[in-house]
Amino acid sequence: MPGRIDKPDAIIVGSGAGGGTAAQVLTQRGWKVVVFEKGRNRPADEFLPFDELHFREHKDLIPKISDDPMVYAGLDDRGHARSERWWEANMVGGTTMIWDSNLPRYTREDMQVLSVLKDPPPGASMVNWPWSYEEFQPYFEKAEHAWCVSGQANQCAAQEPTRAGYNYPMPPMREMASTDFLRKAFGKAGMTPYLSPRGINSQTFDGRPGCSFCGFNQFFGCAANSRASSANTVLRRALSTGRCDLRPGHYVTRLDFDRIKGRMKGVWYVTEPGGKESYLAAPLVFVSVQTIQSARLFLLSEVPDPNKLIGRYLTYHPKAGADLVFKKQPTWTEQLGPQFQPRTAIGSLQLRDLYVIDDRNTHLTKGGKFSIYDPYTCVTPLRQIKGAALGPHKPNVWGRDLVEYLSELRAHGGVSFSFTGEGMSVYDNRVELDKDTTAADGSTVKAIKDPWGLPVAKTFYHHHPYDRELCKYAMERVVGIMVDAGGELRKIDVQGEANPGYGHVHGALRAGLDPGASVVDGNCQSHTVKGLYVLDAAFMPTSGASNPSITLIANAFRVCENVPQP
Amino acid sequence: MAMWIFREPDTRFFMAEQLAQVAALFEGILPAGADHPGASDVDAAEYLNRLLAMDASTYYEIPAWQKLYAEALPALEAASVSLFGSGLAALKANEMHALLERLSQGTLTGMPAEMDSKKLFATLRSHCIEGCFADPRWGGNANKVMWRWFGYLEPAQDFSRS
Repeated sequence: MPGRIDKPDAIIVGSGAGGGTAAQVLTQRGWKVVVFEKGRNRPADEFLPFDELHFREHKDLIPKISDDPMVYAGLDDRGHARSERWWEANMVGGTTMIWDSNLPRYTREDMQVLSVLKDPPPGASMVNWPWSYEEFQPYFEKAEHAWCVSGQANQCAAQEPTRAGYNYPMPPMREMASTDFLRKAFGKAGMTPYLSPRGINSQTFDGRPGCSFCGFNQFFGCAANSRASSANTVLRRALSTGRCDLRPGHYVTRLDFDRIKGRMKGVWYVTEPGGKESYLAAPLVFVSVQTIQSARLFLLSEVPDPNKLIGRYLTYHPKAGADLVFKKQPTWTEQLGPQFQPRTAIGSLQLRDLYVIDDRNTHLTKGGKFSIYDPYTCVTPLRQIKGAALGPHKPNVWGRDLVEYLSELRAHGGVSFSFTGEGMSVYDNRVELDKDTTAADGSTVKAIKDPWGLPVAKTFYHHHPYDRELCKYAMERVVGIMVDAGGELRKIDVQGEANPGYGHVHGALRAGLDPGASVVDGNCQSHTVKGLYVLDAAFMPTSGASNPSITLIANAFRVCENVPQP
Repeated sequence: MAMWIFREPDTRFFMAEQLAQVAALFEGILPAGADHPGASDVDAAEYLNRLLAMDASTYYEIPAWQKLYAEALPALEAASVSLFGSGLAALKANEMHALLERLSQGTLTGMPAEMDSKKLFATLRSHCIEGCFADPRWGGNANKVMWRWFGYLEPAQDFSRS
């Protein structure tokens, strides 16, 4: 068993996707590391018994909005609304304990976004990333193997390109019973959905079992450890070296650095609300506690920010969704054969044919990707049925309409799209520390503090008109194809201007080569405090247009393999 | 810490008359038919009866819901009597539908001024769906009847009351 490490080579703050990866890479280089994790260890049996009401509706696995929320300033930028931190699980393994583990790569179109978005719209601050996709390729490969990603290279031209001879460490998940139908329908439109790379075992691998298709995936813990997490992959390997001291229940409150020399010295932390601050010294600190919280830690620590860039260029992916039903198709079911996922499937197909938009009818050029699911099989029933709709103008149905909806879902095949698009970076979209404000009636609204007494994060966010136009365009394209295949639209949601905090989040500690225009450098080290690194999606200069996790994991490999030993 | 254990509350929240009112409202939200179960077939109201007997340690909104139902049920009962001459539990299906329609549109007269009718309806709908489709350990979805008809976790089966 690893013992206590009092003089680490590096401190890692956060044990999720970025922090766990850093722990593996650095310990395998022979370094000694301490990993501070605010949450506690939650072994897999804590995710049993599966229960949608307890885990999802009552949000058992994320911070409580009642005492540890974030705050959204609203569309007038003067509001003070509590907001859920949907994708910040405070536990060993972080949000990878509850993720959907859809792991497509960002590609050239994301990293060199200006090659696609040649004429960025007014108000958007779009930049190319200071690295190429080619530089990232070996790190993607390491990331996909370390995190045990199932998948299949070269399924279609629109898929993320891979190097010759490369493939994922295990085959993709079984197809859904609707896959063949969807392939044919999209094929008529010249598009090719493909089986997505997933951090879920399609077979026994790395000592963990293949997925049992229990039906409890996104927002639930995986009680079988078939789904990869930081805890059951990279962090486990780091701990096995004996050079990783993982400290759950340790909340880092401040970064400590030499202000004259601009060098990292260590961190302050507490182990319980109201507890005394303790200190641990290390020359290098890797922060990876989720984009918004990493920016908050920089602000709480007063990291020098001469150009007022900390917290800025926060991006959420613009999201859109649609459900359709096919009245001529019976319900997709595993009874079609054992080669298909059962009803309690997890999906999904990916569709990347609108990643770049080449359509004279629109000015839009940089698009995004779809995850395609079967609404009947992939979503737990409360979530699905609370959103029951019989058309764009008949949402939240009840009474006889609800019976009709249920009967339809019970008898006919359906399809559900989730779109992730490029979000425009905007300077005013930002993270601040919550502070006392004056309401419209002149009264004082007190800042909200977390249970440890520190001000919570406050976000200011307006989706750029491009984001919303893109979502509308993308949904119209796929809905049109599905209607041609016999589908009837039941539901459509398109990104609005406001975003109180739902969705993939990035930016806020933008990386770049110019210290005047970025917070961290090309190796994700602070421009103003040497030895301070950021490994979550906060470094991303722009949002990209895919699920961000495998790209931030690949970046953690890139950074940690090249950091000089102190 | 270990596996999460559901603990049934020792008490119930509603009096019998209130429980019947909730059951009637829920049946209006998910009505039964000859070939499909409705909210009453699966004891959806009993789900809420137990949920509201729990406290904020189960879910932070429970205290607010306790207050909401305590105020809303008498108001809905009075609206029912005023509109149709009988209480919620005695309404015919079409009368209940009409009452819920007005509530959902914010046009039901006689509701307390400070009560947001649309929000109340959304809460009722949400709790009805939970009572029908949540795990039976919570007290609704009796004998998994709703899951079995709908086809959740096992192939869909025909429904009959016999």
